[in-house]
Amino acid sequence: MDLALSEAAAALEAGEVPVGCVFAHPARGVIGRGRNNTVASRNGTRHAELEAIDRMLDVDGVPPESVAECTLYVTVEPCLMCASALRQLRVSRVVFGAANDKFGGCGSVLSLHADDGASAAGDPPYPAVGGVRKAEAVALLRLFYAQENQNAPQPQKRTRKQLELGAEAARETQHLPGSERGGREPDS
Amino acid sequence: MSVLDASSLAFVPPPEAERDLELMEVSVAQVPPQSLSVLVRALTDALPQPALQHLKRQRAALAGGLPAAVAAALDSLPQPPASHFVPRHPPATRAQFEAWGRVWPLVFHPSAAVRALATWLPDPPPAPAEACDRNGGALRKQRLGEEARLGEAGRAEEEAKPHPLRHAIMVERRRCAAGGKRGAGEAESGPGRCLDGPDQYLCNGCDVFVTVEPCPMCAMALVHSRIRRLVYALPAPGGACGSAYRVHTIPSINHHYQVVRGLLRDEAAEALGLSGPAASDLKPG
Repeated sequence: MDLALSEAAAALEAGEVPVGCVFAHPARGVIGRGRNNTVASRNGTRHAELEAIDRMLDVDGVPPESVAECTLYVTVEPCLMCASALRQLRVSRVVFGAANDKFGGCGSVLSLHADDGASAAGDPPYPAVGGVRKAEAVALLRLFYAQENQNAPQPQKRTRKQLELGAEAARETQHLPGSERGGREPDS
Repeated sequence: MSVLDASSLAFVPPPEAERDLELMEVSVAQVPPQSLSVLVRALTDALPQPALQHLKRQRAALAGGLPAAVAAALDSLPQPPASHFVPRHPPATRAQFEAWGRVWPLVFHPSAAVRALATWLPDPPPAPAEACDRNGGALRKQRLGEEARLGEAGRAEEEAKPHPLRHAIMVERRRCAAGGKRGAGEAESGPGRCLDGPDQYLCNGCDVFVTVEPCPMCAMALVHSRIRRLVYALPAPGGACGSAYRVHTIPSINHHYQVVRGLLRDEAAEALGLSGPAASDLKPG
């Protein structure tokens, strides 16, 4: 998750929404990494997960079967699009930081990782765990929204979101035990 | 392309718009009109009912009831609350509002997704070939009669590096962005007008035509791209715009688009080599 957080920090540097991820293979370690790239690519679907997946499959020549053996570490809960993509790729496990109330596809809005509806397409469910290093993931988002996103299409809700994120981060820093914040993920 | 058969088209509304009337039991009491405003205020403070915001607190006593003298005599007696059945869910559509309102007076606030249906564009959905040509053709690969999944259509050339997520919508979305142009179907005026400048990475106002109902990944990609309307021919098990989910109508999501299904259903089935429109082995595109 350390590496995923560095990817998110790099996205922030680049003026992107700070979300980062890595794909950790049980034998080969980290074989893919990605960060949000919607602004530079002028494509609102270029989320960290899809960036990492495309680089692995298209550039690095990783076969989809190897991606399927990975655990994904991502700083924010995958959105519906990414949650569905991960299921179709049959990833082994997803570990995320902050939940995503508005778009999250691993339990927040829908449970595409586990749902019967999604299994109608024949892809097996995958386990998803949230809350890992959440405070740090939220802190990055707060920094971003404090800077104002010049490229965001819908400015009217930012104030509220900023407040929510601020409140959430405050709660987290108060209640998260220190050991969890400092905990290392075996594969990242 | 064959002639458009409008009778085969169906909107895919949010699920609550298709809900039947469901009743729940509440307590009602008859009170004299002059104490109503005090009572309603006190009740609102003491017993707020966030789940019942769609019900008005009071209803006029039924007209043509008892003679005034009898009613006045009864009013002076202490009356125990009686039970009454009222609509459990808020009305999502005007039709529900009017029908359910006969049971008990209701408040109606249509959701963004339902409002999107109400503001359905006056023109019928154009036939896909025409729409693509008129709009520059960048979404042409999605037009009916072609493979919905380029991953399958282009398997031969992709064999060296297979990518199971190369669905038509994802491929085309990337191509729009890579071309340095805005999305293809963007109207030049009207509600779907694309804004210059920072919004360039969106496909505001696009209409997308696709043979097979999108999977959740593609349906959400269309949310992220802010399209105006999706038209598809064939539903698919696990599909995200009417079959397993209705991703285009989820209230917490900040954009909703219209969905019409059934356009050129038979032609699409034939083009995809399916025996009938209800092919159960179809994978969402």
